[in-house]
Amino acid sequence: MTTTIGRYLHLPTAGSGVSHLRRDQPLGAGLVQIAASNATHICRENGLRHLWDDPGAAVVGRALSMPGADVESFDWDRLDSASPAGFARFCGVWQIRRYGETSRWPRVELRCRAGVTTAGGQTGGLILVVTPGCVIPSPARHSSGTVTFTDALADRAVTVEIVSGRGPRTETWTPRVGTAAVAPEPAEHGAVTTIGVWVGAWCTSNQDTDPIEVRGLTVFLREPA
Amino acid sequence: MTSTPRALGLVAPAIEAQSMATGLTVRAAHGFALASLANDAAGGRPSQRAFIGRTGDAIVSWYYQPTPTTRYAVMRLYVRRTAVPVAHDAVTLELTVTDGTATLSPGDPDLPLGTDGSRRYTATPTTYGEFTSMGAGYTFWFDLAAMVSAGLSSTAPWRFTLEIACDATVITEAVTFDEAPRWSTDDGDAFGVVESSILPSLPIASTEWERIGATLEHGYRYGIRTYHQRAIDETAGAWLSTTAAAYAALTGDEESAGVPLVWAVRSRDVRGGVAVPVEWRVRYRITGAVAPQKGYVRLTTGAGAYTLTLSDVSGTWADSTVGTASLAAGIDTLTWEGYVDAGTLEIAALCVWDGPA
Repeated sequence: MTTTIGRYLHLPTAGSGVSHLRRDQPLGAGLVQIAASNATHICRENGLRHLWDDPGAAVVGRALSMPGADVESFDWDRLDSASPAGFARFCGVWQIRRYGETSRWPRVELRCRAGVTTAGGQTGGLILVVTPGCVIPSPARHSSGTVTFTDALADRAVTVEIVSGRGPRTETWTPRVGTAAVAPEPAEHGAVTTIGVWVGAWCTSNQDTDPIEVRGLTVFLREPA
Repeated sequence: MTSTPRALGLVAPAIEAQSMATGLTVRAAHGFALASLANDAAGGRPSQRAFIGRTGDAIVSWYYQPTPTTRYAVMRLYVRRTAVPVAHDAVTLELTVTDGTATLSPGDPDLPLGTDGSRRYTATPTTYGEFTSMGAGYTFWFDLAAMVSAGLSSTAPWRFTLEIACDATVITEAVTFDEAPRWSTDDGDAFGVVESSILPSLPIASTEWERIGATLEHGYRYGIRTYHQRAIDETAGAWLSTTAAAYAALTGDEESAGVPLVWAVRSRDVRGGVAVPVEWRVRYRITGAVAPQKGYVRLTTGAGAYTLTLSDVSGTWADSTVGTASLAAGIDTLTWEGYVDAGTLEIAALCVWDGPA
C-alpha cells in the first residue's frame, strides 16, 4: 500500500478564498488522500537535514596509530596531531528522527573531495562515525563507515547505516530560558533523539611530504537505502 | 485557547492512502492520525542549524531565519584542553543577536544565562586527553518567541554574533546551534491541530480540517533546512578574501590555486524532482575602496549562478542583502566566487537555507 506519492500537492487553504477544507464543504476521499500523502512526504523529507561543513585540510599525513589495524581503531585523540598532520573532527550532537512513518533511520552521509597529492604509493582513508552524544567513538557503541583511495583528488562519499543502540540516544530537553535566577517553567519540553558525529582522515605514508588532501567536507542525512 | 502537550513518537503515524479510498467508511481515527501526522510534519523536524569549528579567541557570526513553527533553540559549547591542565583556565562567551534593526546585547534578559562574559566554561579537569576533555558540553537555551517579543523581527533573518575568549590551555572545539522540535499544540498558533479534538463520538468542528490543511502548509513552507553555513573568525585574518577584478575563487575557499571548493548539498525534495528555491547571505567587508566601488559574490549551483552586490565600502563588517537562488533536485553542489572593483573583499560568514517554496 502507498503512503505517499513522494511529492507535495498544494491544497488551497484558509485565506486563499478557495479552501477545499473549509467548513461545510463536502470532504472527498481524494482530498484526504492528498492530505495524507502530503503529510507523510513532509515528515520524511523535513527530517533529512544537513549537519556539518568544514573546508578540510591540504595536508593530512598521519597514519593510523597501528599500521594494518582495523580502521575501527582510529585513535581520535592521537590522530588529531600537528606533525605529521592528522585530521579528526567532532562535528556536533544533532537531532535525528526516523524516516517518516517508517522504522528506519536516515543514512548519514559524508561528501567531500579527497585524494593523494604525490605519487608516493600511499593510501588515504576517510572515516565517518555516529556515536551516542559527545563521546569518543568506540567500536562497541558506534556506527561507522569508511572509504580508502589511492588516486588523485576526486569526489568521495562515506555512508553510515545507523544501527539502533549504536548511535541514537534519547535526551530530555527542558529549555532553561532567560537570565532570571529562578528560570521560568518552559512552555514546552520533551524528549528528542540525538547522534554525535565524527569525521577523520588518515594517510599510510605517515609523513607530511607524501600526504593526502581532504577538501570541502559536508555531512547530511539522506533517505534510507 | 487550548494548548496540549504532545510527545514526539519514535516514528510518524502511518496512513495507508487506500484506507481512505472512496467507498470506505470514514472513521475518527483517520482524522486523528492525519492531525498527528500534520503536527509532526510542521513542528517535529526542524532543520536549521549552525556549527562553529575549532577556534581560540574569535568573533564569529551565523544567520538564522525565524519561523512561526519553532519556539526554542539550543546552543551547545564544547571546551577542550590543549595542554597540561591549568586550574581555572576557561572559555567565556558574549552573545549578540540582531535582525539589522533591533539588537539584543550581551546580558539581555532574553538571551541565555551565561552569554554575557560573566561565566567561565572549563574542560573536564581530570583528563589531559584532547577530545576526552570535552565532557558533554554546555547547553544554552533560546526562547525564540520571547526574543521576538523583545523586538526582533519574526520574518527577517537574525544574525547571531558570538565573541569567544579562551584561556591559554583550552580551546573551543565546537559550538552548535540547533532548533528544538515542538512539544505542544496550541490552537492559538497559526498552525497545529489539537489532536484530542478529533476523537470518536465527538462532532467534527467547523475548522479542524482547515487547520490540518494550514498545518501541512506550514510544514511545507517552514521546514527550512540550513544547507551550507560557515562562520570564520572576524578578527584573525583567516576569512575568505579576494582582490580579483573578475569572478575568481576566494582565498580560503580554494581546492587548488584558482579553483573554488565544491560543497555537496542534498536539496529538500518536496516538489518531486524540481529545483528548490533557497536564500543566501554573506557577512563581508571591503577595504581599500571608495563608493561607488563595490564588491560582488557569486553562488553557483547545479541550477544556475546567482550574484549579490556588496556596496558597503566602509571597511567594517556588514551583512549583505538576502539573495535568492535555486538548488537542483537531489544531490547538488555549491561553489563560491567573488571580485571587487578596488581594494579587498573579505567574507566571514556564508549561509544558504530554504527559501519560500
